[in-house]
Amino acid sequence: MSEMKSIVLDSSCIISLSNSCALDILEFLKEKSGVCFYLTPWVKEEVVDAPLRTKRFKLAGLRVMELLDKGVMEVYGSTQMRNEAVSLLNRINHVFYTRKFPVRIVHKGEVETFVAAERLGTRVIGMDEHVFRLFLEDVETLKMVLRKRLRKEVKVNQSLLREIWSEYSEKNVIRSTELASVAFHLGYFDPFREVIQRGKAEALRGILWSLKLNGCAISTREIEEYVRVLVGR
Amino acid sequence: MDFLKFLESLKFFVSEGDYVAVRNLSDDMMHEVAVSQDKLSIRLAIMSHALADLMENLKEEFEKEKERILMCLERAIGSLKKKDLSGFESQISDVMRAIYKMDRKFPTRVESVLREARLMKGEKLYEKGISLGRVADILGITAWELSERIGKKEIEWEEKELGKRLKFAMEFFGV
Repeated sequence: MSEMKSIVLDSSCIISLSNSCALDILEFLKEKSGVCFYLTPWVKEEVVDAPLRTKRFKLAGLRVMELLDKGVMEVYGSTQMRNEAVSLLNRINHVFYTRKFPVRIVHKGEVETFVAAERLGTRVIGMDEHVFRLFLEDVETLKMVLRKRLRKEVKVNQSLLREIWSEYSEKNVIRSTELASVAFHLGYFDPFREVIQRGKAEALRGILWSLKLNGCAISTREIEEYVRVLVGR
Repeated sequence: MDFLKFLESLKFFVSEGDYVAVRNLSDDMMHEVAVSQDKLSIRLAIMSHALADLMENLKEEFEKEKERILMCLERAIGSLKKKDLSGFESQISDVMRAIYKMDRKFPTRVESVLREARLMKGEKLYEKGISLGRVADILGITAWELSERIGKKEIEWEEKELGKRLKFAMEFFGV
């Protein structure tokens, strides 16, 4: 399938944007660039259906639902895709193992997002969560993290890993912070003149820190690097 | 973790009123949970964390329930020795009932103690390298709550190549 300009969003990315009152960045980016945003049925359950059942996050769920209603995001999925995700989930959760157990590191929502991207023919996933991102990008580092933090010998089932990568293509992960940075570059903050008057760098720092403090796995060094690259200081 | 050893230590520390040791015990159990992820271990870790918090902050009410809790723990130990798993689980449920009994007088407090216990454990599991969705699922909390907590924790995630991801994003969006 030819590559489409689309991104499949995981719940972690949507949650950080929502908790930072920055969900409209998605609408802005769609208008400016024509990129389509997708989420899977399981992610919809996490970001719409589950919060609608709570008092605390009901409003947040409604806001995400509004974006679906407006067509800014679309749900993509099928029973067949879900079955594939469940099977892949089981395999990924057997890649790392200790002496006694496999270390089950990931969840169906994250894996379903990955499978949806494969089926849509896009190589881009929007994910703020750190662990699955490391699995996709740097298994050795993830092994070291697990080994260090679990204080156990952790091994990787290399043949299973090779088998998985032979079936799926490479994916690029971008986070809410990259979405916000691109939006910033495209003029998302321009209507907020007062904010801009205080300094573009501060406006950018403001959104990036908000996303970080709402769960996006980005380092302080990276935030400063983004400000340097985009604003020049 | 050896449940029997865990419960014997828990009973001892509860009887001594040593909430710091109870909390440490809960943390040790959570360390094991990161790998095993079995529901009973999770339940024990949350229960002991909640007990530690109540021992520290609701001393008077806790003292009224202390004997009952110790008796349940003693019975749970007995059940384990007889390899009676359902008896063991039933006694653990009784400890939880004792915790909820305090809830009648301090509804918000006890509920928040249990909620807080789950979130604290969630933070720790995430730090150990278990994904956000998986942690939320294991502990029965929402990804929304956990995401907020993880953000506040300010875990430093280092990137190997600074700026590479931003460059890719800019190119992807045609900027």
